[in-house]
Amino acid sequence: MRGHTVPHFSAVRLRRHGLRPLCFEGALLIQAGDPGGPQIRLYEIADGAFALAIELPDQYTDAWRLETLDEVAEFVGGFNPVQRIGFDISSSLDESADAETAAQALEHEAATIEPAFWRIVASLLRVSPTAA
Amino acid sequence: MASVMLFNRTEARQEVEPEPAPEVPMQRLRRTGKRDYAFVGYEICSSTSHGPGPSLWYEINLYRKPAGPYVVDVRFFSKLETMRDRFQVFDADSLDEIASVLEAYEPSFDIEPDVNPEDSDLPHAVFVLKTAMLRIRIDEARRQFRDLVGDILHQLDV
Repeated sequence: MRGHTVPHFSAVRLRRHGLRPLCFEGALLIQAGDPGGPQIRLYEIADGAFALAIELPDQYTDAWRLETLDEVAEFVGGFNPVQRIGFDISSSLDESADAETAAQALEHEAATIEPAFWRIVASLLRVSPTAA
Repeated sequence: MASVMLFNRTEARQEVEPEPAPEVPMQRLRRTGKRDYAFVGYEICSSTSHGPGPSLWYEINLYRKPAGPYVVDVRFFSKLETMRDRFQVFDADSLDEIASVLEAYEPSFDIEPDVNPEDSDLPHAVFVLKTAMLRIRIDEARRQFRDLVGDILHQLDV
């Protein structure tokens, strides 16, 4: 990595989706997002790899170990936040009003989360350290 | 929205088990298809994915017996008439084994299909829609369960 000072590593423990936490010695490089909205954090791991944490409040939280910044960029670019939003149909097919309400709720949630997610991805890429 | 309540983390981590105190409560957990699982132990964690609106949700409760092993109580609830609530109980020797139990749990088994492929009277379009709804429910059960498990395992010392 170019133009990057040696970070102070400490124990980091990131929540995963359905799995044990991702634990490593590392340092926070970048954090993007607003309180209450989607958040992305990028860590440098002491062994040279990276850890990416994505949080969609009340919906989804996960973290991944990625070996290079190119992998991080590829992963974030391929991440679809809308697929991680809950969608629930509480009634039978006969009660179509319920399905319509659920679809409208999903649409509203997606309309809130998706642009916010890509806005913070853009802000993250603007300040992201470039690969050597 | 998931909520997790850890009652006593210190207790959960303790390696040396204290003598069972007389006030250790008796627990009786319901199990689908089996008789109740009764034991003496403390509840160390209670969590739920229940929030306003959803037709299905999970509760996960963890217990610790005086002799050391843990008990994992997974409860699935549904408001749908076509699905039944489901209760499962697992023994675990350590916090690590609790993590393994929860990571291996497959929520799709809790979703009962309300479509019969052999029903020749069912219009094709309805069959397709019912299948799509089945998939949505499986995805939602997985999302809720795994979000809850991630929260629990993040708070436990595993």
